[in-house]
This record gives sequence, C-alpha cells and structure tokens, in this order.
Amino acid sequence: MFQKILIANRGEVAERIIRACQKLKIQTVAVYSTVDAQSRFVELANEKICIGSAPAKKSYLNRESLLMAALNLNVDAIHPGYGFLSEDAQFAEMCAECGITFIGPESGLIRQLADKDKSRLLAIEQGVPVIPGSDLITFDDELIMQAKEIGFPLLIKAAHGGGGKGIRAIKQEADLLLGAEIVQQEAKSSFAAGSFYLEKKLVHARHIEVQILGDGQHVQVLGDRDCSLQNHRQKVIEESPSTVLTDEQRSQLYKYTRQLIENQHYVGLGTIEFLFAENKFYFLEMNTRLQVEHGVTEETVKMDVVQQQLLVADGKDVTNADVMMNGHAIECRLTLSPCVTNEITQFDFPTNIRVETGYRVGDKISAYYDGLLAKIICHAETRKLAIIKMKKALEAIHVSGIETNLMQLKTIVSSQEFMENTISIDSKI
Amino acid sequence: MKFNEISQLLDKIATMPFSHVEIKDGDIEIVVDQGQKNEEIVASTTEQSNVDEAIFVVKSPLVGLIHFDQSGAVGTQIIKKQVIAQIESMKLYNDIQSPVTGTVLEQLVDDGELVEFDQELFKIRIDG
Repeated sequence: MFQKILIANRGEVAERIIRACQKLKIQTVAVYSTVDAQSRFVELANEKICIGSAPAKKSYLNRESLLMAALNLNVDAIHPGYGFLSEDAQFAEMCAECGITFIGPESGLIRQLADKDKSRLLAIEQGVPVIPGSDLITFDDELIMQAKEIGFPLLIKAAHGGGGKGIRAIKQEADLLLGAEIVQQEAKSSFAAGSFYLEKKLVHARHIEVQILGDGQHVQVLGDRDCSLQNHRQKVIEESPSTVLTDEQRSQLYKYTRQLIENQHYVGLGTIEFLFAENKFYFLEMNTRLQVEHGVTEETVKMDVVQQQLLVADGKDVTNADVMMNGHAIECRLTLSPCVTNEITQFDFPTNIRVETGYRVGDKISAYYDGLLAKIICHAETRKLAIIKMKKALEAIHVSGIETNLMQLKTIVSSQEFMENTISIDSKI
Repeated sequence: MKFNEISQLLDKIATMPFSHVEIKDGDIEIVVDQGQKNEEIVASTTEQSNVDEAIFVVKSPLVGLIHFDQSGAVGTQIIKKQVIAQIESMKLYNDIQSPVTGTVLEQLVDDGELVEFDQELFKIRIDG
C-alpha cells in the first residue's frame, strides 16, 4: 500500500482525501498557496508545503512545483481531487515519468475519454447513442438539409461558442435562416470565427450519470445519480439514485455504460454522463476523476469511494458486479454569492447530517478559487423522507459575513417541481 | 534618510496597493516587494541608530532544491541582480538574483535543502 500521498488540491476535497488516507494509514502531504496557509486542510495533513502564490496557475496548477514537492518529500502517489489537474493528461504523464502514481487513469485514457469530441466518437463507435448533431456547416443549403435530418426543435451552436453566446434554439424551419445568421454574426464578433453546427434540442432532459470503478480488467457500477438541477450548467442539487428510471431503463443505462468503458482497461473512479429525454439516453461526456457529488453515491452504496479509488490505484481488484443502492441521498451545494465582504463570521451546520466543507469561522474566502462553501448531504429510506431531512437541515444552517445561495436552496427544496420530481436541466431556479 | 523616516515611508507603502516599489534618495535605494503582503523589508533596529541601515529578506520564488553559490556566502558584498544562489526544479537550475546591493548577513536555509515557495532564504544588509 502507498506510504505517503500528496494531495494536489485544497479545501473540502483535500480534507476528504486526507480522511480517507488516515483510515488506510497513509501519510499525507498538503500543498497550499500563500492565501491558503491558514486553511484547515493544511493543518490536517501530516506534512505541508507552500507551492506558490494565490493564482491557481502559480500554485495548484503548477505542475513543476507539485512534482518537486512530491519527489523531495518522497511521496508514492499524488491525488489530484477534482478540478485543477485532475483531468490533465500532461500532469499524469509527468507523474509517471517521475515514478509517482497519479491517482486516476493513465494519461492516454485521460486524453481519449475526458475530451468531449474524442469520447463522443468513441461512444458512436461502441454503439452508445449521442445527441444527434451535424458537422460544421458553411453553406445555407447544407443547413436546411441537415436541420431536416435532425428534426425540430434544434440548437444552432457556434463552433467556438460558450457562456451562453453563439447559441440559438430554433423551433421550426421558418426560423432557421434568420437564427443561423444571428449566430454567425455573434460568433464572428465574439470568437472571430463564424462556423457553426446543429444539435437536436432535447425537451425536458434530465442529467443522469453513472459512477464506475475500474481495475483495468473489471468495471464495477456504483449506482447512478440525477444531477438535473443546474444553474448556468453548474450542478446545484444532486441525488442518488435517479428516481425517474424504470428497472428496464436503468439496466439499459448500465448496459450503455459498460459498452463504452468495458474494453478501455480503465483504472480508477469515473463518471459517465448522459442526458435522458423522451425515455432515451444520450451520452454527454465522461469525467475521469473523483466528482464533487460522490457523497450521495457513498450514502446509497454504503462505500467509501475515495478509499476504493486509492485501493484500485494500488492494484486492488474489483468485480464486474453492479452494486445495489439503498435508500435515497440528496446533496445541496452551498455556494458563495457575489458580496462585498469575504470573512466568515458565523458558520453553523446541524451535526446530525453529513456536511463537507473546508471552511470555518474566521476564514476569508479567496476570489481566486471556486465558490463552493459546503456540501450538505442527507440520506433516508425514501426520496420523500430525504427531502424532509434536507429541509430541516437547511433551516438549521446559519452563515454570516458572506452572501450565499442558502435561500435559493431552501426555495428549491420546498418547491412543488422538486417534490414531484418533474425538474429538468432547463428548470428555472 | 533617518531610520524613522524610512520606517514611516515603509508604513505608508504598506497601506498602498503597489506590489513593487523602488525608491532612490541619494545613496539610499529601497526596494519593496509586497506581492504576498508579507514584510519583505524590515528596518534594522541595531544599536547604531545614527547609521541608516535596512535589511532585505530574499524569499524563494519557487519550490526546489537550493544550491548556494560562493558569491552568496555570509559577509560577501553583492550588487543588485547578482546571482547569489540557484534553485533546482525539475532538473532546471533557476538563478536567484539579489534584488538589492548590499552584504549577505545570513543564509536562512542549508545548501541542498528543499525550499518552499516564499520561504526566507537570505538576509541582506542594504549598503548605503
């Protein structure tokens, strides 16, 4: 087993990994930027080293700094957490060259699977459905022909778009030419390139994902999650399992998952994301790392998935089985809202539920990193009971000194749409 | 410039948003880097208060193994931008230049040691 692991991350996920290491009797090294020197995760680790200044590029994304620290502090492995370098094939490659285990799949697999375009092609090859779409379109006659083939409603997307720009929903053929013209103009002014493509617009789609654990030969399915509640494509509330699927649909979902990943010799944790609309699944993308929302899976499959991730990285075998899910788990992400002050003066959470955070009273929230403050995780026998538990938990949270989305979370959890589970990725929250 | 004038000047600079300040007044040159908001320069409180003197602390700009150069030995006079050590990171040697002209007072780490970002490496007395 590993003797010592360096955690190339910060905050709550660094703490989560340190706790898993402690249970497995592995020593830990925390790395931190100058603004994180007083953070709790730095205290919790056995050793600590400052790797750079506040901008992530100078510290948590600084591959050379991380590797120099790892090599000289004699660690066996590096856990990248999520975000930062967790899907950075180059870093995984550099770790391998330095004789250090990167906790995740090897670099070639990250390149193949974490890349949206490449994984889409792989899905098509393996017979897994993807969202119907066109190639890049340059002429108007192609536009009409391709649009008819895909069907309406559809989306016109600029090839280099992003952040809500260069995208138009088109309901019928009559709106097509004008929509294309607008997108082209937006794309030219914002991204300096006017090419675009078409994609089928899925109506009332849900985001459903499957958690897998591979040992290179076998793939274990650790249940599924429903993460349809999103705000600007950022997940806000996640649940496990998805309660909108029939048994038949769930086995179809796991079949697609295995079709995609089973022959890839995948080692580590991974998530295969799908959109589910009109009773059909469409492959979206794969994450080749630990995910923020792993906690709801842990609650329903009764496993410490971070420990499992460390164990398979060390060569442990898994079986091809699908692990049974028990009960229902919900996670709410408490995040920072824009505010003028940044020092936490009150930070109270109920003690009878699971809360994952890297912050405490007195901490200043740095504008350099993401705004995730805490994850509140509830588990109960049924979804209904889990919602009641979550409502009570949210009522017992008191945060001062900073602005948060707590009110929004309370509103969502009490809404009829959420209770009746009729939400979709387009739900206005 | 008197000690308390320097002290006042530094206090003033500390409240301002500059990350890098260089001030020249006659023979005295003061360079302040407050990118990390740490006290990178401290006015000396030696018994000879009639002598204008300041101590500059050189900090590590990266993580790596430090290799001292003869020119960075204690007591050596150095000029601004002179290489006083090298830090090895991923088999690359990065020169550490003195930001000031002065005399090396103290080496704060051992040769060959792993240094972290922002770690104090040298104390240099600014000559003036």
